[in-house]
Amino acid sequence: MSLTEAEILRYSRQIILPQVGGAGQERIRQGRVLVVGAGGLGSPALLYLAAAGVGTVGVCDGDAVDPTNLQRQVIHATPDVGRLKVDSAADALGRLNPGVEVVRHPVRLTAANAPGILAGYDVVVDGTDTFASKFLVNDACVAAGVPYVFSGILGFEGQVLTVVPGRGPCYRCFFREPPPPGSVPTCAQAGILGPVAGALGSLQALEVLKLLLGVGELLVGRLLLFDGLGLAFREVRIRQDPRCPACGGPEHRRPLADEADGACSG
Amino acid sequence: MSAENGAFLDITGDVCPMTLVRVRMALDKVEPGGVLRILMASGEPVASIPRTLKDEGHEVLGLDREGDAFSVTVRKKA
Repeated sequence: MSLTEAEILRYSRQIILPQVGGAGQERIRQGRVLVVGAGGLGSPALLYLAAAGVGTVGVCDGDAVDPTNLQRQVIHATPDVGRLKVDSAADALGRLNPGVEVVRHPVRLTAANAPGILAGYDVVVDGTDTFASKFLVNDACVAAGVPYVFSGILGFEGQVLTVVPGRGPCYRCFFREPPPPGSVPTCAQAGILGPVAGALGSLQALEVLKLLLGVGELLVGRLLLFDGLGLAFREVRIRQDPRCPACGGPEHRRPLADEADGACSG
Repeated sequence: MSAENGAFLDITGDVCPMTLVRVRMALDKVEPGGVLRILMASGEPVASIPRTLKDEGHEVLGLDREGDAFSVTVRKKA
């Protein structure tokens, strides 16, 4: 179905880009994107993806909105405290863009439910906040062959990596295992400034749109490091590990499983 | 619209940047190497649209005055 006049107007500032055009806007509209975690990273990612006209946006989160979330999780507002994050996010997205279909998954992603939740999505955004969840999102996406955009943030710093199974390394190629309990940041280090989450979640949304459009250079094999205090980006080249337990050869692969979570899950 | 002139687009009722948005949408539907004729107002559209099309590698085949407007014929890059 071609774009309606209202859609052409609404998305005119991106249709005007030669890398988008009407055909690109239709690809964005056909896109099905799952955001795991409607928190600091997921908030801007969800808002920008819905604003861009992604046809189907899934939200997976089992938590309710807490007052301490509001300092950075900008998709939720004060009256939403106590509500399920998927409901609060779905309402915000519906107000922003009623043309987007929002699918709610009001559960914590686990090794048991991940394959079913991921099924049917074209791209996944990792907006989770624990090492265990990050490894699970990676392993589940790699197993399902679904591209995903990783990000992790702490304090003033963050990282982004785009994983396209079969076309580059995955998160586990580089970060083999969750850090042992005791070596991980304590609750005292769980601080985060909102705009750091905003910047990195926005970068994730940008990577998703590039993936849907098939344009530009993705962060495949390049771990982007963000330093908010020095305000600088740099990147680390990472290689696919043929013995990776998630994406390596069949003899090295492990079945999908939940990792123990020793970290404080701020 | 005539068959030999290919597709036709009238953007005399649009202002920047919707003029270029309409052109993008219309060019999307033209085959590479195909021709699109665009009727546009004098002034800003005729000053900017043909230049943008050239910058992007399309070929501007003709620019003809049609009353108060201009007819720009463009061949989409292959």
